[in-house]
Amino acid sequence: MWQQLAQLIVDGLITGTILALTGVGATLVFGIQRIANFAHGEYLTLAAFAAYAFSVVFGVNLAVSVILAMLATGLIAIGIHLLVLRPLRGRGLVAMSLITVGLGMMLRNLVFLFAGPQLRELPIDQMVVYRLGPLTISPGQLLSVIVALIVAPALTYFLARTRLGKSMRAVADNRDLAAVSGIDVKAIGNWVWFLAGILAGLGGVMFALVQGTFDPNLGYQVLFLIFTTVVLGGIGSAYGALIAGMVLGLAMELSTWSGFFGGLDARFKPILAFVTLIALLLFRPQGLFGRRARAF
Amino acid sequence: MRKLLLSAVGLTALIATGIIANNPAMAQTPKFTLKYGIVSGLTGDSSAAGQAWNEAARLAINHTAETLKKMNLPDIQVVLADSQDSQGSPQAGVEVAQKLVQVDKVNVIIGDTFSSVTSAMASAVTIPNKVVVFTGGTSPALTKLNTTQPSYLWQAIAADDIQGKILAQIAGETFGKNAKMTIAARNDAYGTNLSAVFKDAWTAQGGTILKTVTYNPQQPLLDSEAREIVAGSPDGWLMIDFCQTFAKLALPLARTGQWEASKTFGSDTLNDCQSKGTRNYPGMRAVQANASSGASFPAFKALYEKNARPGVAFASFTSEAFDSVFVAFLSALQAGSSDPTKIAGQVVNITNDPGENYTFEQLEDAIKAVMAGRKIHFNGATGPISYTPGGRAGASAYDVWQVQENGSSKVIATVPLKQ
Repeated sequence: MWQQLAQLIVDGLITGTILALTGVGATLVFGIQRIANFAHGEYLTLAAFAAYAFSVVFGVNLAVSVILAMLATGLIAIGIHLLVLRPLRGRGLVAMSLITVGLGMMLRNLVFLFAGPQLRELPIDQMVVYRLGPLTISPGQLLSVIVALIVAPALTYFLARTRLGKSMRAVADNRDLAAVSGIDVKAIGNWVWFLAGILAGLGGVMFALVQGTFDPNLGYQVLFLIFTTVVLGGIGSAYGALIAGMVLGLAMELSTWSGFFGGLDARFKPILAFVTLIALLLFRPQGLFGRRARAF
Repeated sequence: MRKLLLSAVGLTALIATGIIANNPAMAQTPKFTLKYGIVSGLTGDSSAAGQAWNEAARLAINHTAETLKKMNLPDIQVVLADSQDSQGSPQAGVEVAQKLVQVDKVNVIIGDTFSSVTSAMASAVTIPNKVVVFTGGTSPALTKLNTTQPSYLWQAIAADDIQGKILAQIAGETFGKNAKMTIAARNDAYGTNLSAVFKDAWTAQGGTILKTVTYNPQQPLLDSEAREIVAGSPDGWLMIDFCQTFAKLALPLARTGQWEASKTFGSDTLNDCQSKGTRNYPGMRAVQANASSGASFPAFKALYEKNARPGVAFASFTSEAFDSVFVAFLSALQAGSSDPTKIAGQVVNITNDPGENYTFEQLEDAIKAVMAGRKIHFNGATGPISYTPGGRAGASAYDVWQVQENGSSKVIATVPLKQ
């Protein structure tokens, strides 16, 4: 039972880290651009396929491929912002959300068109299992844990200590106040899309590594969990998304622990995520770290 | 003199009748346009299978159109109105069926392969609008939707009630009839229905079901599900899923170190995942309704490999879609009309004995025979088909597939079946 608990904590942390990293990008975009980007899941997919193309098709080292895929996704995100979303700005939240829904469908189908529906695997042996005491972990999962241990604190540092990170949080917090303080809101808007793209790219590659296989539906499958993370953490709150992602990942996995009233049937894990969200919003409508005045 | 004149006229009429009978272009050629629609999951969980299904049906329609053109029968047209993506979702299935029926005015729909999608679109759209559907769905509940005659919904493959019993029979021979088995099934109509049928058949013969784990294949990670599946060390496992999503479960299963593929049976959809773009696990077995026993199966496979869109891998079950196109067309030809009710009325007639036997390779001869008023029995790439009036493919057999050490999968036994 305790071995199961330890394993579930590891699984929860892996899921949570991916949700947290992808959620930070989505929440900053919402906070700064006031766009609920429903194409965000597709950025994960594009990154996984880009990493596959670099590593398998062109034979580039996997670590380099991951970095290239993240950069490519960041550039795609900023490109879509400049070419599509910025010119359409001011159409209202609902219209912009619908536009991103369509954009997401278009991107997903483009991947289907060019890559086909087949499952892909990144060049890492998925059948190997490392035994760390009572835990078993695959190379993909181990790599994701290592990446998470590096990136999550780095992201926290970036947001808390760097000028760009602080500016992003300031704009997300109060756009007008940030503008009168001398922050170039437009430039920050571009940077936040780039950051969101990069983080989504990292999340996509991590998902691909952890799952072992992936197809063009990769990002779409987790889109609603990402948005649950965003709302749970408080819309616009980067720290909130980081914590909420972890909370969601752990809550979903730990709910199946046999020591917890026999454990929830695994098929109800995603439902638990939404139950957690509803329960929290009943008592804290602004989410974990959101401010009451900003609640939607 | 008068007798001679009458004889001459009679002889001339006889000769003319003979010429007409042997040349369909000169006979009273029926005039109709048969519009097909294809529905399958072109995107979503089972998109590899859905795209292959779409290709097989499209190839059959093209083959029919080319044959008619070659025979110079311009009054008979077969057209693919549209291929629609159900995404494996019943709601999307209803929407695309509405489009095919209301906008494209199709007479026949080939698909879906998902029972849940077929059920939704048949109940809400095709049966009320009297449109013929040939489905690859295997749920036993599907043909029960045919509450009147003729049947509008035709199930081109043996249903899961048969598959569940066959699985129990073969698993019993392998593990012993009293063995403990765990079932892992995807959380949808296909998974839950087949697991229920298997459970009933297995317990009825004295076996025990240790656990039934129903999982959501869309979950990002399936590690906790995998640990539930191996818990309690069952004697064997039954996996009910599609290759694309089973791949996500198989890796966590392998990571537990307690799962043995050689003690695992899969549902019909897991017979050869390598050919569907994912991985095979040596020793794993699966049963599948025999869809390749027809004499024309190799020709179908060759046609597919030559003309299908690159990147869409061949799958033997798509011969059901391929056959269905010809069954619909020959039924329409027999009826002399593209009216779906008239087509439905001829399906049993076209696919059962007695009659001259034809396959798609002799489509031209089959057309001539039907136009000459002779009774035919169309034999598919899947086999003899033999539809019953209730809408089920009548005669069939089940293949037992096993993954070999080199990762390839092959049929190791065939269990004959008569429903």
